[in-house]
Amino acid sequence: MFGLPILEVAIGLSFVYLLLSLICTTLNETIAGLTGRRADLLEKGISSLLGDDPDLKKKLFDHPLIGSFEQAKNARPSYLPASKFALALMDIVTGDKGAANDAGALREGIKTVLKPALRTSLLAILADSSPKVKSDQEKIEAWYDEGMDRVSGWYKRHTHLWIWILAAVMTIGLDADSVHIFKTLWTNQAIRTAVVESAKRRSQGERPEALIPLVIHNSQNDPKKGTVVAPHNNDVLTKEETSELNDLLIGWKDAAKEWKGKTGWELFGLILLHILGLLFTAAAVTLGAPFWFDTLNRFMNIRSAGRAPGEPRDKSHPAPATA
Amino acid sequence: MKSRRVPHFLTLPMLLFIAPLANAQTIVLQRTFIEKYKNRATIDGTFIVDKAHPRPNSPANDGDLHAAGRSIDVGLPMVAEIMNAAGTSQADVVRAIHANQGNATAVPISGAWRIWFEHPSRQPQIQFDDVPPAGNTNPDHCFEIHPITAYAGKPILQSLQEINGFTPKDAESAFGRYEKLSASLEIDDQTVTITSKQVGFNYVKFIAQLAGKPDSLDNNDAGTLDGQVVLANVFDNAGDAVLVNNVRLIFIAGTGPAQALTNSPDGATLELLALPRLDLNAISTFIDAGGSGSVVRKLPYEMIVVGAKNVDGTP
Repeated sequence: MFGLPILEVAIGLSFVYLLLSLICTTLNETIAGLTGRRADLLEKGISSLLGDDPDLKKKLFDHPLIGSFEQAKNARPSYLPASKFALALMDIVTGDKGAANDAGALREGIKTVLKPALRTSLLAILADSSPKVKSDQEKIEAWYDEGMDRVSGWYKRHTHLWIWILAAVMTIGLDADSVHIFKTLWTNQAIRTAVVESAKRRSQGERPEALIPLVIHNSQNDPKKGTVVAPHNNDVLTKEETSELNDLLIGWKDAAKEWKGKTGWELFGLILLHILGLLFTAAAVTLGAPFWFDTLNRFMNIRSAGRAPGEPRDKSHPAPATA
Repeated sequence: MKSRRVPHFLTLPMLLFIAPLANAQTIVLQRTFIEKYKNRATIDGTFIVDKAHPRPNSPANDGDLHAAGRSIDVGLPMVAEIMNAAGTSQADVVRAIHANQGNATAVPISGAWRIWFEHPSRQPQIQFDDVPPAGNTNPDHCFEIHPITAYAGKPILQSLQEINGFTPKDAESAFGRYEKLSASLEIDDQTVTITSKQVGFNYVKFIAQLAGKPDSLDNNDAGTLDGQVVLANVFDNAGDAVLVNNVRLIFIAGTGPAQALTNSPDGATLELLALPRLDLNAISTFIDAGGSGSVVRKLPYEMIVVGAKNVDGTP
């Protein structure tokens, strides 16, 4: 029913932002893995919990219970369960005075081994008589978990910053000018049609917020059987999607050709529009792939002239099950 | 004419996507092994004990007894673990393991096979390459026979039960972690190379509602029923909301948990103690459907049930 060019342009733009967001997310995850961003923040969080006592931190990370969480020899862990942290800390604090779970030795150790600020915190935590937590270990675990909530917040902020940096670098590197993409989609019907077809296929796939499983076991009375999810879909973008990005991105070389021979206000206007187009793209990419996937689905639903009864509004809001 | 910038640009993220997994554990499994064990609860074979713990872990630390060693039927660095090892019924098996420690004797063993990326090594572990004797009781490994159900002809099926004095992981922490795990798989004609990051969360206690009817697993090497498999929905700690749908639960024949399953009506709700392991059935199904080359996906897992009771408390 609706085949309006402006709607198809909106679909095309959402599709381009979705593809660029997918590349950006992939790059961000890769860099986080290579730079050990999680491990850095975990270490910083634990250091903060331990009152920035470098000796205590070293003893903790050298403890065999923590060593077993290193991803490789001499590598720092990027994740540490509360139980291991609590047991290792209790073991260090009690030292030779008794077993790690010896309440007396633990309190004695806290008074003698730890620095004043941490000592005060830990003694207050152990004195907590809340019925929810019973043992000393559970109390220390709860304290650690609260600290790790802060670490999660740091990680999210770091990730957001990295996404902005990567979005800017990628947008400039690819010269992904939203104004140019809009113009191309508006004026070139062949490209617009091809892009909308690709967008349709992408919108029918998995929402890009989570890892795709290999198989879903959904035959409830045949647990040995499974439904395979996309056995041939291994790439971030398909060949068609890559080709369509090529058609839509102007490239610095072509942009320079457009500016050649222009002078004065005309040139200034073109460059200003180009910069605004780049800024718009970078800002759009930071909204993330799930956002653009949902937006694309909304436009697709409008284009297909309303939804069939029971059809989900979009992939993020599934329709209720019916008998 | 347009330049071809994007394809070159995309090769970088694809390569880099795999790169951070380089420090994680890589295991190369033979596809014949996957096919044999994809619907089996246990593995039967022989085991050489190189190093064993002198005594079981304390109940607070899970109560297991670890023995590191080698098996020609597995062909990977491995450990075998007895559940509730301090129990009197397990005493003969503990003694037998200690008696065989270090004498390079291959002794019959049975138990749940378990591949899990808990103790990573720097080097990939390639199935049926030479496996050197273990230098300690907990060498780098991602293959376990855990729990052991029989050793040297002595069955210890009754060891699969609650561990008194041990606090298992809770459902939200454990399944929250499992659901976020990724794995890189490289599939060729003979092998599947699996790389994943380290993960623990061994024993987890959770409420599960049976989502379908149990089905028999393949027979074991002796030709007898190896166990049952059923899909179940896993609930949060409060038992109010479903955390994960249709998780494969593996029950070992002849154990208390298997009996609890048999006694449970359709849709029953059970409180379970279980260990996670790689779901070889999912990998086999993926390959059968034409899955090939390299993929990065969610780590497929299933749960070996080692303790079970109905929520009304009936064992």
